[in-house]
Amino acid sequence: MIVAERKPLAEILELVRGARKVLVVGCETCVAECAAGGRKEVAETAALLRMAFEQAGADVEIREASLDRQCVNQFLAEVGEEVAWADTILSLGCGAGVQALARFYPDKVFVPALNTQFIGTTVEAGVWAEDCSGCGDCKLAYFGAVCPLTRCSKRLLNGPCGGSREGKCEVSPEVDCAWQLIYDRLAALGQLDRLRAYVAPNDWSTSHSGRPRTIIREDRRV
Amino acid sequence: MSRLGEQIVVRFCHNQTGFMNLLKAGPQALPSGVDLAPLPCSSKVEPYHILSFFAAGADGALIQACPLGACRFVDGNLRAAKRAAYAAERLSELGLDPARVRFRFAEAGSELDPMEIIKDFKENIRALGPTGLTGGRGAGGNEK
Repeated sequence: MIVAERKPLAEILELVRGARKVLVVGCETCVAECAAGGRKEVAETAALLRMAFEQAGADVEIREASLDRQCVNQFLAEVGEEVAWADTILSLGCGAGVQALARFYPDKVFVPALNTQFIGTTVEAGVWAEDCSGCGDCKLAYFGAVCPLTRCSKRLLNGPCGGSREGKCEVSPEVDCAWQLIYDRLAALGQLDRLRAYVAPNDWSTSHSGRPRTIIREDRRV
Repeated sequence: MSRLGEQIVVRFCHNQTGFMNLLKAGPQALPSGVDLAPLPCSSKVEPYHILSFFAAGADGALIQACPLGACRFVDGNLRAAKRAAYAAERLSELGLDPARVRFRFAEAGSELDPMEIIKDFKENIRALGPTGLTGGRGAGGNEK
């Protein structure tokens, strides 16, 4: 999923400055899972805005809405009435959600309430970690399903550096050494021989470094 | 009605029999400006609930949870404590004193009279004064 965090309230207030009718719209998929942009966070943000505007003596109306997915056009029409009412829409979606809404409603002002961070997983309740860089050239099969491009601080593809200490990375004692994880996984799976194979440098032309990416499936197009 | 910073919201786990008895006694048994209601578990309170209380004009919010180690949902009271702390931090983003949110674990076996708990909190909130927020109901009114 896409993991995000809410911007500081002061920054959000600056982004909606001058607005008179604000629609706060969330997304019930990734950003709801990471407790950044679901219904609860919409209500929380709306309450904070109501208080901040009242403190400032600003006469601003606020409405709340949430979509199942902000990144899929079929869902976006559901908030058409509320969007038409608002002069500014504060999106609690990820960066893709904000842009999808803005494309769908081209004559409206959309501003983000979140800082989109990474593709990650829920490690435990309240903890989310980055697991995938979206490089477009997945090599997880070689590494016991642990991505060194994302989880090794140095993005090493052929074994650990000399900075691994008791399973932790020299960059930070709070960061697991990805190569220790890879070794442990492959050992448990009886696949340590995989480490004898040289893994060629990643093809970054398939990543965002190449260009903004688009995938087209003709069989899915209407 | 004057705004003295007396509007408080009290939410408690329904297992708190003292608070339940107070609720059953009816609103006339409560000091003025107290909005008292039970929860199936204190952890039912989310940060947005607490913030919405303040946005609607409350001056303080008190969450009363079961004693440590006595939550029937194992750790619901611990979760509620964290959520209340989070909401209090958000209030400070607005320049409001986080002490306006009070979280209490009931004391096993020697719990105070709920009326005393409420009065004590109310006095503290009154000392802090009104938040200045009326929830759009004007400076003179804050009835719930």
